[in-house]
Amino acid sequence: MIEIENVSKRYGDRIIVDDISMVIEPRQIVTIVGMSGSGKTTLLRMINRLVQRDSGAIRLDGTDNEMIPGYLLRRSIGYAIQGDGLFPHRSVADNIATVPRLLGWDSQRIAARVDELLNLFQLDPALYAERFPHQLSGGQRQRVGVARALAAEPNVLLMDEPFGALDPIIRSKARDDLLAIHRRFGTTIVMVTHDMDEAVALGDKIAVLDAGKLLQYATPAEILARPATPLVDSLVGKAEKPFRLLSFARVADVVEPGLLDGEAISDQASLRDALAELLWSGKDALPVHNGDGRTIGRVTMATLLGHAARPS
Amino acid sequence: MAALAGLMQRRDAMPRLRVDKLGVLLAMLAAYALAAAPFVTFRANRIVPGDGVSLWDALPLGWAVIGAIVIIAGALVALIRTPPHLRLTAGFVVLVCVFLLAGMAGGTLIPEGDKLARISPASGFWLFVLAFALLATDGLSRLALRPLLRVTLLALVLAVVVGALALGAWDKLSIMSEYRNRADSFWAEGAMHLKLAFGSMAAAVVVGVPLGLLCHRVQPARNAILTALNTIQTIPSMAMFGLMIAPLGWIAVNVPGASALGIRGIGAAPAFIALFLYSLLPVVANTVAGLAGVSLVVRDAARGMGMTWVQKLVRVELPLAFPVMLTGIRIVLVQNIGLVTIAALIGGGGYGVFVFQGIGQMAMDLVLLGAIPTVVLAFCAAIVLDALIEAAWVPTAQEDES
Repeated sequence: MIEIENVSKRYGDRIIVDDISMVIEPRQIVTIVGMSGSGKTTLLRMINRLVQRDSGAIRLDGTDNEMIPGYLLRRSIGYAIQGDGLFPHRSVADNIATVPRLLGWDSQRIAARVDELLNLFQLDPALYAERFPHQLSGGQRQRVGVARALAAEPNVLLMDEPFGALDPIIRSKARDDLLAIHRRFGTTIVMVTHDMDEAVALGDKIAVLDAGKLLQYATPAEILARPATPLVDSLVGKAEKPFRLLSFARVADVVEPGLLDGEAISDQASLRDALAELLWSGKDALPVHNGDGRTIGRVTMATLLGHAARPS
Repeated sequence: MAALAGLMQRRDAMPRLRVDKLGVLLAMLAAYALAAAPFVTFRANRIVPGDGVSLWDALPLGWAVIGAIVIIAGALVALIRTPPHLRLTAGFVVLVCVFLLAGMAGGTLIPEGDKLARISPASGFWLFVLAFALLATDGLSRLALRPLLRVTLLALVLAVVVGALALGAWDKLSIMSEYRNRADSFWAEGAMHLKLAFGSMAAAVVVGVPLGLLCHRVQPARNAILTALNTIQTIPSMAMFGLMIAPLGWIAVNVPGASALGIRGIGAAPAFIALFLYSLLPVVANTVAGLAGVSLVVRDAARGMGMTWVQKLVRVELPLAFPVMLTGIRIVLVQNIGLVTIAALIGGGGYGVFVFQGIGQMAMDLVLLGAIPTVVLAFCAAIVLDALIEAAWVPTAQEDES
């Protein structure tokens, strides 16, 4: 659990973060959105003390983060940034091993962890471990960047626009990968983004910042249904609202009994994907299969339309 | 008409011979040297003015013809667009040929039993060397060989030259007479030359890298230090060596033990210090530039991973700045090897001793005995360090994508 309490930061006369309080529950993904200059990156960097706060308190699992030296704190928190920040003179394996080496793990344990992470991120160790960052594609570099951040098994992972430099197709794959990783390790993830789609698709909760103030901190559904201020409303975008509402719910949540013929859709797909499939095929309902490929029911157009309406 | 058309068709069928722009210049140089410039100079004794002797008069006809054929063939290779390895080989072969012919001319021109007559390479010889060394370099740079291969090639060429000299290929030439008269001091001054050049460079690295770090971290210090070093760099080298005499002389007299360490107003100590001062700017400036070139994202990542600032410096910033720092060291080394020559003026030793002796005695071959090894040393240092810099270069993702 991360407790942020009345935290402020100013540079000279400019207030960057203005008295922000919020609690991030364990094992959640929280996305921080806002326009550039809203203070979202500064807020993130105060959690691992890359930026020193002026006032307030930040507690990680009850312990104030100023109780230990900054560099030790940062070794215990994962950190991934836009443009990956890989060390260009180190191989992929050495990059991933950075924090475990700083922590003094023995080499066998490090090698095993590097292998595990490379496999997890679909990079064959035999092929990629000894490559250098410049020999990888943008998407691969980004995956190595996240793998490096997770190497020392941190409880908390901070991400600053990690997918900002990726093109749209690789970006959506990267999001899916991140969700899979999150399901597997249960890491608490705090991610800064300026992309509302990304915030809605990934966040259990979304924090909306503007000019250093926290405008709203709530679930995606809440933010879409009841934006706290006109600015939050405009960030969400009126025309996009119903689709965003559909994009963070899963087919598994709305599946109803009944058997149908035809191409089935995965129960892990978003309602938005299901709607697209229905519109494209011109049907009223689709069969749904689960992870084992077994058909477990169906999803209907009426249900989807119901979910796209403004929640009461 | 039909014959003409047939001829044109034939010409189209043949691979087109195209003229190389640099090659035109090189071929013209070689042609002029062959037709009009004296190949060697003949002097009745060491200091009288000499007479130019053409290639045809300097050698037996057979050898002169062979030499001319090799040179013309080399010039054609230069003139026409040819593959790089052919250019490199042709340049090298002609150089070896010209080198051997010059040595041979010594044997032919000096009358039997004459101990005073001197033969030296003349402008024609040097023009051949210039033209075909450029041809070889042109081929070499177009081949874009790997660093290790380039250094190996350099070692090979040096071995050939040293081997030929040891076998006596140039024994009849004046420059080798000068060498034989002072063989011991040639090697001693050579050792001194290297000691001064490398020693002052090492001292500049030991002092300059920490200074560069300081400049990198403390903005006000950076301006002060770089301005001071820039000012030092503007002092002419002659003046700098002169300026050292007074303070070091004072130290030698007044500081106990200083003169026992070899510190005197003249000699190697002031030369060393002057070279050291000149070396500081390239080392410091390149350290600063190298560190400044490390991307902000990489630095942020290093800190965000939990590195202390020393770990960040040693594991990330210095390795990434290293190639740029090496570029500074290359500048220093090549610059120092040249500058040491002037140190001879204040008794610092080195190959400059022969240069200044030669100027004093109007004996140009003695000047060459000092100048040629200096040029060769600087050239070798440049090639070896360029290879090192290339080997140490860390490619970034951006470079690869562009």
